[in-house]
Amino acid sequence: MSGPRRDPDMVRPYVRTGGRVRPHRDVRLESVVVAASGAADELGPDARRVLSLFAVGRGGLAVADIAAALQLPPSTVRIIVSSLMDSGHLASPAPAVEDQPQNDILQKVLDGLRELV
Amino acid sequence: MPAGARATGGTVPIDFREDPMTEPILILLALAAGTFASLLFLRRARAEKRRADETEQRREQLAQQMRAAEQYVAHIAQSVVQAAASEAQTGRPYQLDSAIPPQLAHTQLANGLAALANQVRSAITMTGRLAQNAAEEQLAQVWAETERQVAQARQESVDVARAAVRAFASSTVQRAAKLSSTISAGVRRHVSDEAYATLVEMDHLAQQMLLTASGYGVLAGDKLSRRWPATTLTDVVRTAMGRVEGYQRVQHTDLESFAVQSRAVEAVVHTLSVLLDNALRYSPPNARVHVSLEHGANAAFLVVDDAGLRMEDERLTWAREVMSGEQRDDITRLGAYPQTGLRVASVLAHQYGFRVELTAPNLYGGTRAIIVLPQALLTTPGPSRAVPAQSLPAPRPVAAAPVPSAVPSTETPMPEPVSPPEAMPVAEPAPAAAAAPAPAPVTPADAQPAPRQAPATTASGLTVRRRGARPAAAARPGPEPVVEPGRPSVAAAWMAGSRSSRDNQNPPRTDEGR
Repeated sequence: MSGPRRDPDMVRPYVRTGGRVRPHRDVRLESVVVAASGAADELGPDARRVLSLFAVGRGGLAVADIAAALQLPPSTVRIIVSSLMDSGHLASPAPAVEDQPQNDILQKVLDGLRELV
Repeated sequence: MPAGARATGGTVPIDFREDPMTEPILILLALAAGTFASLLFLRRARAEKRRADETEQRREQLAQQMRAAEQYVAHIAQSVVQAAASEAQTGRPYQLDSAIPPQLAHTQLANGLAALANQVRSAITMTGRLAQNAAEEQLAQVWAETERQVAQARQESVDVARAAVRAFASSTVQRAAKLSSTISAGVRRHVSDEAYATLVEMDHLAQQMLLTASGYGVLAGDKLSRRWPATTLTDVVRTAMGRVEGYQRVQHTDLESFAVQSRAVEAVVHTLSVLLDNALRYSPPNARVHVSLEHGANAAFLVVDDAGLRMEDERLTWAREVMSGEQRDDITRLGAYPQTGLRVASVLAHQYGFRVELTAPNLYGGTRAIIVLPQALLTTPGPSRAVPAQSLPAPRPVAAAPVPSAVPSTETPMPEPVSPPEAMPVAEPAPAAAAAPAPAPVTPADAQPAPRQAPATTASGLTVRRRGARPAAAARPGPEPVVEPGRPSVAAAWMAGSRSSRDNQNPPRTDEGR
């Protein structure tokens, strides 16, 4: 034993978000974000930690994955990510329209599922 | 005279009748003899008288001496004793009027009496002094005893007060710590914005409660009960910010270059909280409080500057006195909380071996508080801040095909991966309580339908992920399907998918019900 373990709850969530209690934009746990541009100098420690997860060449990360990696409460990460998107450090990936499943296919899947239930 | 005639006749046996011529001669002789005898007698009488006069005079003189001696003895008996007594009483030497009466001049009696007077006097003086000393000694003993009893009574009252404050503080600290870990678990479990806002507000109050309660505990002689690992100054400052009202006004520079050693973390956090609280209280509501770091040769200086009104001299002096340790552990003289806070800081600084300095005015015209952290309490930050590589899932460049068998088998509720039990606060009072609630499922409603609706959920989740993965697709050559059952994003997507599916499903049902 080498003393107590590092405690991710030592710094309280409201301090990490600077007092913000909800994200400015629709950031969900399953939302995927990618790194955009922007200097990290002016950012807080947690924002920098979030950005440090986005190594060059890596793709997007889901908010839930960021929260898990940093051992932070998901809601806190949602707010931090939302702020980083506000400041332009993170961005939503460009929607790939051609990749979207067709609505009628989805509807068929849904109908099939309802029959199963 | 017949006697003389007879004597004469005796001495001269002459027959007068025989010599008629001898008769006148005999008469003359008798006369002469008589005259001589009377002369002799007179003279002897005179001498006798003179002797009697002398005796009388001597007697008179002796009588006078006797009276003088009596008076002198009486005088001495009275005045010497009085003099000695007054000398013993006042401590001032008393001039004794012991002039020898003229009648007794040059007599042995006078010398003897004078010597006696002096001896009596010195004896009495000595006795008086001894008595005085004895009395003083006794008085001192009584005084000391009284003081001891007063001190004992005071100590007892302090002990009683301390025990009461300690009991109250420690139970409050325990409950507040438990409350704070429960809130931490709640913050991780609930994803709704409303729940989060409420929990965070409660958390802030609980942290302030913890600060106040553990402060009183420290003043009552308790040790700080919470333990943390070695922590960077950045996190020390941010932890301290979490315990004060108005933390949003605190600005800090990059403080990553130093970490505080484990044993001193809570003490430094507490002290910094007190100083921040002070700075925030005594500055205008829109002014910022700055925290910065100065490097010294053998110490690091954590500087708290406020832009408030500078501390008045009186208050500054008081605060410095508190910091220097004057009466800092007197539990019966507690003021309102801000004062108590500084006192706690002083006790902690003393116990853990750092220093707190207060100066005013500072650059901003306010007050500057400095925590001087000696090298012995510092360490270099470990690499623990870096995110462990294995905890981060590989970003999915290519959409993984749905793996029906894998996904339903992962009945992992969302909070578990983000909130492993050991990640809970190490607050000593309630470790079990902190760990217990963490692995609980999100909600039964969410967890139950998920496996049955797995395909829909997966489809819904995939849509989102595929978009995100798209830009990086070219960078990753190996399109091997990586599926990690416990991935938080999968769990989150699954949960969101099942929820939206239910939301879609519900309206028709309610319509049918009508």
